[in-house]
Amino acid sequence: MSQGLTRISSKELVKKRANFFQNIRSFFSQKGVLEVDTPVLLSFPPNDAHIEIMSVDTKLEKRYLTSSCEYLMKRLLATGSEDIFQLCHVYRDNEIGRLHSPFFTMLEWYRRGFDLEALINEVLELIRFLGLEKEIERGGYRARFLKATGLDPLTAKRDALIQKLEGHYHQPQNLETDELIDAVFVTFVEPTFQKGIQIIDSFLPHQAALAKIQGSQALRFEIYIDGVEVANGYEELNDPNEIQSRFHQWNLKRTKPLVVDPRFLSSLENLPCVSGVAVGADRLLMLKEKALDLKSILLFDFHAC
Amino acid sequence: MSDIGMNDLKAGTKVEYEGNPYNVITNQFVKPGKGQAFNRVRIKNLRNGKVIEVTFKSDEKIKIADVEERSMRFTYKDTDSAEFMDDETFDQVSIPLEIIGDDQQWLKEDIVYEVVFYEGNALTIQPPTFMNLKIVETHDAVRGDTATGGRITKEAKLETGAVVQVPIFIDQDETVKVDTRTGEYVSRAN
Repeated sequence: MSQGLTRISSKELVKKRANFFQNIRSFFSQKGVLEVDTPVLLSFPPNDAHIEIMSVDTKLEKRYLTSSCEYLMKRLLATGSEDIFQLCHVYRDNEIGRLHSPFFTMLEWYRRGFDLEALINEVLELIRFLGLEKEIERGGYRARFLKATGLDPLTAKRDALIQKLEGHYHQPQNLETDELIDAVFVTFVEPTFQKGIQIIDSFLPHQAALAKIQGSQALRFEIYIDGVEVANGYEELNDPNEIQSRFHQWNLKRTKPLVVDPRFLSSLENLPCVSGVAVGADRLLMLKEKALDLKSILLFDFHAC
Repeated sequence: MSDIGMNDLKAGTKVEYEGNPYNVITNQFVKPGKGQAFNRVRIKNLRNGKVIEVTFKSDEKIKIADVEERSMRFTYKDTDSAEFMDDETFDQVSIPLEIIGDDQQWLKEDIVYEVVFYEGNALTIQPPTFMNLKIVETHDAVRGDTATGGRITKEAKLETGAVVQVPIFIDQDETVKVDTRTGEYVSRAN
């Protein structure tokens, strides 16, 4: 447990959260980015390779709790909406820990005509605006992986990855290759992000999620602050066929394939060139307040409500 | 014994890993953005006290170890074992001296020890933190006695066999209070 971490009373917390959200809103209002509020109960589950979705039985029909507001925000952009942002409650099953909660507040925004570079700069501007200025270090996923482990994640053989995990991981030979890369990453690479603002870009193609791929790089970035992952952004993929094929790939790993909302898929035809980013708003507040864990800056945590 | 999901592991849960019983110290959920979820657990080997850190996939399960802790009274020592008795059930258990190891130096008749059993076999014994023990052998203060923490001490052998440093004013046949975790003299016993 680090020194100097603060305890915040719930009375203080109400003020701090209100102030924090107000600052975020004024940042976007100055930039002319419009606030939207998309529903959290969806008729089709979001499809994300490693996120477990919660479902709700309503008297009308079965619904799913949103794990990210991206599908509906992209549908708005496809109808010709201006740049938009949202502070949204999102839900992810089976994620709980110091930095995880089954529900949290996500800040997500989209910028038409921005490339990844322009969006990274805007995220850094917001971080400064919220009073979290720190030294910045930047590097590609592959280069950072290579530096921390001596292994190139794009070409490393399974055996080399398994050997690297010996003594650190329970039966690494049972993992798929992309899981091996993730396991080596969390064990050896992520611990090198402990200080300041760390920007990681140029992800591997299999980590593209819904980002465009250029050559052997996914046009995706992540930002860590003091070792905590806070932002994940893409130059958004808007090719409906490519998106269909990625969903298909993710479904192969599921015991039960997820059906993707056809309205989302057809809207992609009209999705302009946009870059978008999702920021863990609670984690940002936690870092700003030097709080011990996510729980201490939530008004009510999973077990308290 | 049943299996437990990684997210249900808490500090103090006893688990079996690679054939050995472990005590969970910490369990951390880690998940790289858009990647596989893992649990990084720090566990302590109940046989030798060694702490290791191992990562598991969050959807894996781990076996709960059949570990039981019982308070047992030491009755007598044999050539290669020590005999203990459960005060409630009057069960008698014979524990090989090699399992007791260094803690043999704290074995005193009629004292209650915490005995940890794994699959029915004794794994470790834990003496009370503080014990009052009689000095059976020491010498008068002489030049060359060790100075520790600003005071001069000398060696003293206790009735259980442990050798501790005591202040020079302590005499043979006196009873002293000792911290069994560190093997240090605390005070005269009253």
